[in-house]
Amino acid sequence: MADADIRAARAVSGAVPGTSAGRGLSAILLSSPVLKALGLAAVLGAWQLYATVNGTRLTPGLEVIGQSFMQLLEDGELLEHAAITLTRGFAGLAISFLVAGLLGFVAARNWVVDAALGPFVTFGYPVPKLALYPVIILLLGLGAGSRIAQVALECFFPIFVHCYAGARAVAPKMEWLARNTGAGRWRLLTDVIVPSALPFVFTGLRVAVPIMLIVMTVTEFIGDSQGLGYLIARSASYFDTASAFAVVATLGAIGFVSDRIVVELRGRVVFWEKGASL
Amino acid sequence: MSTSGSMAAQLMRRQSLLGASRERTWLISSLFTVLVLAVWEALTMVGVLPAYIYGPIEIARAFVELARGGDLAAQTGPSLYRALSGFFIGSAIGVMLGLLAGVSRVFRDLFDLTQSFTHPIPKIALFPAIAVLLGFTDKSRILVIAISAFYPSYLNAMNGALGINARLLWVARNAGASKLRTFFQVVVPAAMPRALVGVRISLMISFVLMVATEVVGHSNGLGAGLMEAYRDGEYGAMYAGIVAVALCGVVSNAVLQRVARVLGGGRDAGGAGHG
Repeated sequence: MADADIRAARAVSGAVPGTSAGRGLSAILLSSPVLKALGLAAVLGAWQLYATVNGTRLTPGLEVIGQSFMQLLEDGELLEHAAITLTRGFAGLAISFLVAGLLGFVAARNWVVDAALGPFVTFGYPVPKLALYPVIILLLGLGAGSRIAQVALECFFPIFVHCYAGARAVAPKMEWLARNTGAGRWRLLTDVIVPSALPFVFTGLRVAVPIMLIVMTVTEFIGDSQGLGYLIARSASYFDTASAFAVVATLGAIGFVSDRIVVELRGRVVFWEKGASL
Repeated sequence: MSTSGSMAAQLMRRQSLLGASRERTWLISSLFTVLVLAVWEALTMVGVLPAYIYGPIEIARAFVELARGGDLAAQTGPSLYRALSGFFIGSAIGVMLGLLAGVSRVFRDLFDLTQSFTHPIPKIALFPAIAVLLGFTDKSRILVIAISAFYPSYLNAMNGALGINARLLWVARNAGASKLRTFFQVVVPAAMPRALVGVRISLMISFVLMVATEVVGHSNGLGAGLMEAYRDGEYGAMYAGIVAVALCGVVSNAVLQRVARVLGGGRDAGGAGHG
């Protein structure tokens, strides 16, 4: 770590001035947990200050947001809409994973498929697929189907690209060894290629989950009466920003927990890559 | 943070050339593309697909028509203005703060919890609340785009600065370089490839958010235009809008890649390793 080195150099040259008591206090203040807590407290404090100074309903303080959150929770509305958002979102993600994962693996191992799909990936990847949403509504209607399809579409490329890279990341020596010991195509796939690709597959999943949440929120803003996105749009249209922020915080918590689950799962499944970060 | 998609994409391109000769790959690529377009066109001509699914030729015609009439330019202007200002503000602040967080533990710790709580929020969810405060204006749109563009740039720049080879810093110190000089001449260049990966993700997110913020609420711009065309049943204009959005995404991505190659000393934006 860069600063550790610079810090060490300073300590050796004795460039840190100050009395021992002053140094003790600043050491506590500058310790990691204290600083982290201070940083968060500063942000929350600034929010609260701004809310108090402004004093309108449009800029709710933390306690008002908390009350709105509890209210939504007691009504059962929050859980109901969250369940809808999550089932649809993860359904889209699952479809995307099946199709993109399969295509990614095949393209990585077969140069004809690779060449055929190449232009579509190059041009399709940087396109905001959200622009296609009207076409998808025309095809599937405004129900759950169009939202699931939109999630699957938007998550396709990140998952495809990571599965592809993973299936390419097999060490050649491993592959030669497997072939020499007489492993068939199936064993090569299950025992060599899939394990080598798994870290990449999990990275793809980790990239795709936040995209799924974005797409679900946006599509629920448009012409729906279900889901967390709808709940936000409805609250905002009643100028009830406190409830809107409460739902936003819920979405953040969902994103955070999902990410932790993916990381935890990766640690269990790809147990041989201990300590490697995503 | 996660490995970027762009890195994997680059890996893909590089290795697909190893797999087969360049000419044969090129031939298959173009043949398959033409085949897909031809099948699509044939299906629309036969009339198997519903009337609102246009064929490629029809879409191209609608696009040219709308572009000639000047409608498309009138929509693209405000959209690009929002997407690019949001992108520049968000990613510039992100890279600067990220590099600072990379070299200073104090700074990194101060932002750590706030960052890890706010990062998982889909930033578009803030848009209705921000729109209540600032209205459905350019200001609120640019703000949401900038917030979204901030995170990938910040995290990648920070990780880039953290991942610098310690020897480079020892050399700088031994040569008697000041902290400021070390930062600008060692840390910034060494962290640049990774930071640019983040900037590229920021750009892609900016365009997604551009469409998302325009689809919601009354607005002008490409996203609003294509949503309006959908409601009015003017499918030609809708497809033209979709093509325009796609072109914006592809062109800006290509431009950024060029810039990154120049800045990164001949390397692609995406040279960072896995992890």
